[in-house]
Order: sequence, then structure tokens, then C-alpha cells
Amino acid sequence: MENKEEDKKEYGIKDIEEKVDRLMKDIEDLKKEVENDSEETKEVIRSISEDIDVSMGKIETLSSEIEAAREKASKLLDSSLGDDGEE
Amino acid sequence: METEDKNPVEGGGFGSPEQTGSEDADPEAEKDKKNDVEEYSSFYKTEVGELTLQWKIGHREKKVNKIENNVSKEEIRVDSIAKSIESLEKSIEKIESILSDNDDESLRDSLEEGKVNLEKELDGLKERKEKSQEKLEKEKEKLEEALDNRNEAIDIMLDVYNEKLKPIEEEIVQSKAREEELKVIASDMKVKHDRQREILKSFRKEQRDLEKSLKLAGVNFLKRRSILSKIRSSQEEIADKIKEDEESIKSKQRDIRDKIRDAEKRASVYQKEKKYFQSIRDGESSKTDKEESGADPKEKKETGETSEKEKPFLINDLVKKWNKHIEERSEEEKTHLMIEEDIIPDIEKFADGEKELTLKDFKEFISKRISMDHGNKEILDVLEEIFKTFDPEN
Repeated sequence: MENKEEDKKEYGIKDIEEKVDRLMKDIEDLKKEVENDSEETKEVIRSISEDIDVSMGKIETLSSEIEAAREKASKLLDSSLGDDGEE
Repeated sequence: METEDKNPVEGGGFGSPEQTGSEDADPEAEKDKKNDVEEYSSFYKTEVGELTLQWKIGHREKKVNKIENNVSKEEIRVDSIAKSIESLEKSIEKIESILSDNDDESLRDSLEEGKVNLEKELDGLKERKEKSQEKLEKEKEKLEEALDNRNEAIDIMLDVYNEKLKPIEEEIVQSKAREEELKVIASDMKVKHDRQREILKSFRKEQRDLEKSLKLAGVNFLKRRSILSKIRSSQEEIADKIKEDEESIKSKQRDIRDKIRDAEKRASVYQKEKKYFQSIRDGESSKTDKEESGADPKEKKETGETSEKEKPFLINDLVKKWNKHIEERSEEEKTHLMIEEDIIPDIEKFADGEKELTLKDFKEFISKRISMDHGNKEILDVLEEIFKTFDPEN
């Protein structure tokens, strides 16, 4: 009778251990999936980000050129007739 | 932006404080300079420092108009003196003709005396005419120089805008397309994360069931803890990774949105400035067209053919009628377009101290005010639409 109880217990634990292993495997699979998704997304984001930074760099350069022209035009107006209080 | 920190009043700009101390300063010029500084200060407070150059050009425009007025006044003066000279010369010719046909000594003396007086007057007028002519020439030179200079500044900007603005706009369009792609990726990612969270939820349920089974199977606390902690920590790692990815994509989206918004803001300043400079240049060419076709605006005024837009109205009346006209508009539009009474002195200043303003100038004032205060294109479009139905006489 006692042996029967022991067998039952042992069989029960084995069953639980199998379930634990299965759950751990499922968790590991999900972990891998999440990590793969993350890597893929990061790669796409990196590429988008780089493209945008390149665009922003071009805009910055073009803006600097506009600012330089604006500075030139502004100085031209400052130094011109009419700013010496003649009017 | 670089120009935000630059004050045109400094370093020899209009109304530069260091220019105000000249010993032989003209009180009128001093007053102008004071107005310049005040005008600039109120402009600068609007925190639209980027529009400094636009402000300078607008300011120059006012000065050009002032010189144009001086030229007109001087032309009228020269014409009037020339007419007086012509009439005096005719009188002298008449006296000379009477003298040649008359032997009466006493009449001749009186006529000779009259002739000498007229000749003196004529000399005086000729001298005055010469001075006025000189003044006119100087004003014309000033005008030409002011216009050349203004046009040169505008042309520098138009050239650079024609060349540089389009590529900026193209880069913004491309960046926005990439931003949209990122939005789609974020949305796909959310779907995946939602599904993965659901799986995690089911794992948690399994874990709880296992915990119960282990207890029932009589597995001791330490062993149970060792088995379950591994399961728990792995699940936490996944949940953390999902959260981290979500935050990272959101932060990247914010970062990209901010960058694009800054670029758009910058481009919008350039677009507005280009439009403004182009309108001055277009106005200049249409003025030249009119002059070439002989349609002198002065002649038009003299013949009484003043158009509705050129007709002056009392500023107080204009403001009252304008506010009444926009009463039915939405609250947001009214916030931008309603003119408070304390703005009236600014309008008078805009009208060179006059109490009257033409409808065209009134519209220009409101447009500039909106551009400086809000830089809102939609409101400018609304303004355009409202002005189509605004009639201060009704």
C-alpha cells in the first residue's frame, strides 16, 4: 500500500517536471522570438534614423548657407543709406 | 537659429543707440530713431527673431516710401516755382514791349522801375528753383540708392531661396515618409507585443498551476522556489524586453518627430520670408509696368479715380468696423484677428503718425501682426477670405 503511494507520488512529480520543462522551453522560444523581433526592428529603426539624420544634416548645411546670405543681406541693409539718420 | 540672438539695433542698425548722440542731430531724425528702437523692441518681444531681416526690409520699405513722398513734394515745389518764373518772364516781356512802343518819359520811368523789381523777383525765384532742383536731385539719388540697396538685399535672399529652399523641402518630405514607415513598424510591433503579452499571461497561469501541483506533490519549499524562480525570472526578462523595445521605439519616434518639426519650422520661416520678398519684388515690377504704360498713380489720384483700397479711413472707425465684421467668426479666429484698443497706437505708428489708413495698408498691418505673433498660415488664409467681404463703409 505504502509502495503504491510512493509510486503515485513519483509519477506525479515526473509529470510536473515534464510540465516545468515544457513551460521553460515555451518561455525560451518566446524569449528568442522577442529578441529576434527586437533586433530586426532595431535594424530598421537604425536605418530610418540614419536616413533622417542625413536629411537633417543636408537641411542644416542648406540652412547655414541661407543664414550666411541673410547675414550678408542684413549687413548690406545696415550699412546702407537711410541708416545714418539722413531721412 | 543664429539670427535669434542678433539685434538689428546693435552694430549700426537702424536707430542704433550709439548713433543718437550726434551734435547736429536733426530732432525729426532723432524722433525717427526713437521710433525705430521702440518698434524693434516690440517686434523682438514677439520672439520671432528669425524674421529680423524681414522686419529690416519692411522698415526699409517705409523709408523708401518716405523718400518717395519727399520726391513728390519737391517735384510739386519745382513745378510751382517754374510756373511763377514763366508768368514773371511773360510780365517782363510785356513791359519790354510797352517800353519799346512808348516815349512817355514818366511812364517809361515807372515801367523801368517795375521791370527792375520783377527781374529781381525773377532772379530770386530762379535761385529758389535751382535750390529746389538740387534738393530734388538729392532726394532722387537717395531714393535710387535706397531702392538699389533694398533690391540687392532681396535679390540675395531670393537667389539663395530659389536654390536652397526646394532641397530643404524635399528632404523634409523624404524624412516625413520615413517617419510614416516608422509609424507602421511601431504599429506592427505593437500587434506582436500584444500577442506576446497574451502568451506571457498564459505562461503565468501555467506557472500558478504548477506551483499548486508541486505543493500537492509534497515538494519542499526550497525546491519549489528554485524551480519557480527560474520560470519567473525568464518571464520577467521577456516582459522587460518588450517594455524596453516599446519605450525605445516611442523615444525614437519622438526624437524624429522633433527633428522634422524643427526643420519644418525653419523652412516655414524661409518660405514666409521668400513670399514676402517676392511680393515686394512683384510690387516693384507691377509698379514699373504701370509707369511704362503711363498709368501714373499720382495722375489717377488727381482725376479722382482713387480705388476703394487707396481711400483712407479713420483708424478708430476701421478697428471698430473690423471687430464687428469678425464677431461671427470662431473663438480661435477672433483670438488671432480681433484688434484690441491698445493696438491702435501701433496702427497709427504704422501709418506714420496719421489717424487715417487705407484699407490696403490696414490689411498689410494685420497680416504683419499675425505673421509676427503667430506665424500661422491658416489664419493668414482666413484673413484673406474675411477681407474679401470687409467693407468699412457698410
